[in-house]
Amino acid sequence: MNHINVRWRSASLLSIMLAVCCSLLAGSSTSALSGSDFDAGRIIDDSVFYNSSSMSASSIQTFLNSKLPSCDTNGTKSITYNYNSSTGRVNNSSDPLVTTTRATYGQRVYDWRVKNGLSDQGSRAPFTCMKDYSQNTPSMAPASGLCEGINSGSRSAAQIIHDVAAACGINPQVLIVLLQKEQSLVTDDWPWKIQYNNATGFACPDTAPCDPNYAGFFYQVYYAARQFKVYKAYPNDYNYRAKRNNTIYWHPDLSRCGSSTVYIENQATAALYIYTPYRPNSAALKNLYGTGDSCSSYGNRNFWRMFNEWFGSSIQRYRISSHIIDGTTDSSGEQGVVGFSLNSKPTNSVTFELKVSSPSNARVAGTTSVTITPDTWNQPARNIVRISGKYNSALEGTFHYSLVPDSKSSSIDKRFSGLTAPNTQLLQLQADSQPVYRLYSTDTKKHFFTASRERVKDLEAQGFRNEGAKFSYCKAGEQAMIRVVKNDDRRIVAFGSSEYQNYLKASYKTESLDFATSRRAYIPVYWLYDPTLGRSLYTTSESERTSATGFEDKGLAFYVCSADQAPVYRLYRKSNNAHFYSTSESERNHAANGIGYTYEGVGYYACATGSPVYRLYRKSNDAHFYTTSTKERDSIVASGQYRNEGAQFNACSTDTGSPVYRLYRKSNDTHFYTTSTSERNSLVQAGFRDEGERFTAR
Amino acid sequence: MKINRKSSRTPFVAAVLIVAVLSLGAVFWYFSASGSKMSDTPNTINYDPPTKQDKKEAEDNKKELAKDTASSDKPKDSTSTQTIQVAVSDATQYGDVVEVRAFIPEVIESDGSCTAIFTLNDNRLEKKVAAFIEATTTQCRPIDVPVSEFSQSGTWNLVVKYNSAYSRGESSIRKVEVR
Repeated sequence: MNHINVRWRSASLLSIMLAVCCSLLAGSSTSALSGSDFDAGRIIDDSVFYNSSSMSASSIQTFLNSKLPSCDTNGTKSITYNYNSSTGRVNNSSDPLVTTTRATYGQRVYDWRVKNGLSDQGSRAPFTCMKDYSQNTPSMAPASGLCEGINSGSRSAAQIIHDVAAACGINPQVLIVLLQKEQSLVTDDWPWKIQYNNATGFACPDTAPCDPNYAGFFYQVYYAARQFKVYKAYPNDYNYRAKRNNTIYWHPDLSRCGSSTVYIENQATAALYIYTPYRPNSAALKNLYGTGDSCSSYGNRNFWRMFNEWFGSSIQRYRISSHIIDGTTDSSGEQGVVGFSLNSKPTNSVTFELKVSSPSNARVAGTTSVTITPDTWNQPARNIVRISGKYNSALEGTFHYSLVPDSKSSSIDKRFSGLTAPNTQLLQLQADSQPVYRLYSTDTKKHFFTASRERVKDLEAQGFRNEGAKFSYCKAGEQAMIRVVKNDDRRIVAFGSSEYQNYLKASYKTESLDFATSRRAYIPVYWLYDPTLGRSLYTTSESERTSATGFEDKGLAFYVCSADQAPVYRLYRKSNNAHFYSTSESERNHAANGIGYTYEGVGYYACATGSPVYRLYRKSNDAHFYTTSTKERDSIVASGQYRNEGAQFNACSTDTGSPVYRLYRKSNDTHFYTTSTSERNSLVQAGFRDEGERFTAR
Repeated sequence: MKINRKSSRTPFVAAVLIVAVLSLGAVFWYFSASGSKMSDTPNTINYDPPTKQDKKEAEDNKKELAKDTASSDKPKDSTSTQTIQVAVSDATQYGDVVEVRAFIPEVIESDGSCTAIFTLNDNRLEKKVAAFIEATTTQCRPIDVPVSEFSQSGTWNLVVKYNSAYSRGESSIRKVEVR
């Protein structure tokens, strides 16, 4: 017995020690999150936010089940609330407290609202919990550059979250946390219908009921995800921008609570602030699971806290990055090139597989595997995959597709094992010409233009008459495209081709817009839609796109080509304080992604014909020099310091362009070129020497 | 007996202690490993049951829904306007352009417009843009003003005004350095 007692006591002691140890350690892991860990400029990393493959539909379902072990479907649990039995008023603190079942409470809320002319919030039992929710979902057409198409069908909430996340390139975990942050749908065991209708809080104006076009669980999830992609596609159009100092307010009471300056480090964090534009103050962060003070806001705090507690760190300490070296493919053999890198040096090689997502017919050319070694971890140009474009009968025209991971990474270095490479978007161009179809609705007497065969099919099914391909841009020698509109409502009746002359005779007017003179090689044409009048407006003008009153921005419609000019990209490298100019997209991408340059945008535009501009390279300071003068070129080359890299682009004639000023920077013996007089003047003030007008550009 | 009992117990206790130490080490290793995995890999999913906090948030949300007994279903009265505050999230010169970003908190309307008013001494410059509905706010279209439109360089005062059928108001004054 004693023997047994000793053994029992020892075992008991051990159990207690283990229990204490385990609870301490487990406790430390769950309470590890502290408000001091919240980084206002980096709430979540892009690599996490846009990682659409973090969970399968079944793992989402398992997660939802775990967070809601039982559902109070019939509302049998009790609830205490204020209730006036004479008037039927609920939730007024001056009335007595009563306790009933949730079902009774929900019925009373319903009765009170109906009595007062208010809408039904769906407060009556039975209740459907999100883990059990399903609905018929409509088909969603591809939104170019934003979301891929989604087929119609019956889907559970988990499938909706998964499929929308996959189509739009958003982490499903972000959507799950958004649903919890906005309506507590993950953990609510008796949700009302209004919580599904407004699930992500998207498009519910103060001045009217929520827009029915966006109401309902599927639309709420879809449009929230799509909106996060809109922020990414059009980062300049919103109130917060990544890679800049932003003024972020603590609370909607701006004047009382004030603001702070935050450098937003990435697009994902900017997106969260655009969606919920406040920063938690120290009181809110100090009491991470409760309330702060009267200037506290909680939206972004709760997002961060929930994400980190449910899905691990929102900051990816070790990650794979992708770099577009050549972002376009076409059906005649031009290959896209994407490089990969790590954010720190691994101890061993890191390997992962890639594939091209549907609906493209493009494919990874050659090996689909990338292996990054300790020697190449920060050199994307040495860790590349090539993608071949291929004719796609369903999607003829220009369209986006994604290079996506086909496996998680494997490595002996555990820090880099199990990581997911980011999705990378590429653009498929027609090799020569791109047919743009015109469709006409006999009901509304309005036209619609598209380069997408899929959209043509959709519109034909809706009764539109296909009037055929009216122009094919990106084809050398194509005539200018003219936008012809009717005077009264700016209704577009024709683009390009000689037929516009006929419309002019019929008292239509031609607008000054001419797509072919726009300043980009591949010019995006944006589709704007006025839902009130049912009219569409197509434009290449960013300013018209943002200022067209009454129009909704529907995103990219198709691309057209500029026949007579090309952008000259401007890049800057801090290490040798030098600028580099090129009309080559692949050269631009290589410089920006592989050899330390920062892309500063289009410097100016070169012309199709004109004096050649020669580029010379000096190895001693790793810098370039540009000139149209053959005499200057030859004398510099003769000095032995420069190498002639040949004619790179053409200058414009003096009557069709602006002067390009050359400025000399003595400190490192380099030159700078600009068409901006104000930039020239400010640089002269900063010590540059103005070497005058050297050639002409647009 | 006493000695015998003691001698037979000693190796057993020692074995138990060894097992305990090894177990503690294994437990510590397990939690350390899962802890580091948590911090380095974003895909560590917590399938634990909901916490009290999770449940409380659901109940708090329900209370908020129940409070919504009057305002949201009815269109606002357009005969009177509410006074609102305008938030300026950026007003800085980038290159040749002064960029102004602004929004109206707690208001979601599609019919408003925003006007940026720059003043310096007797000089005045105005730019008006449309406002648009964002997910939870009303935002002003970006207001980009070329530096060439400013009559002089210096520190300008900026106020952004908002006007719609239902709401009007302005931002506090913000200084903008124009070079």
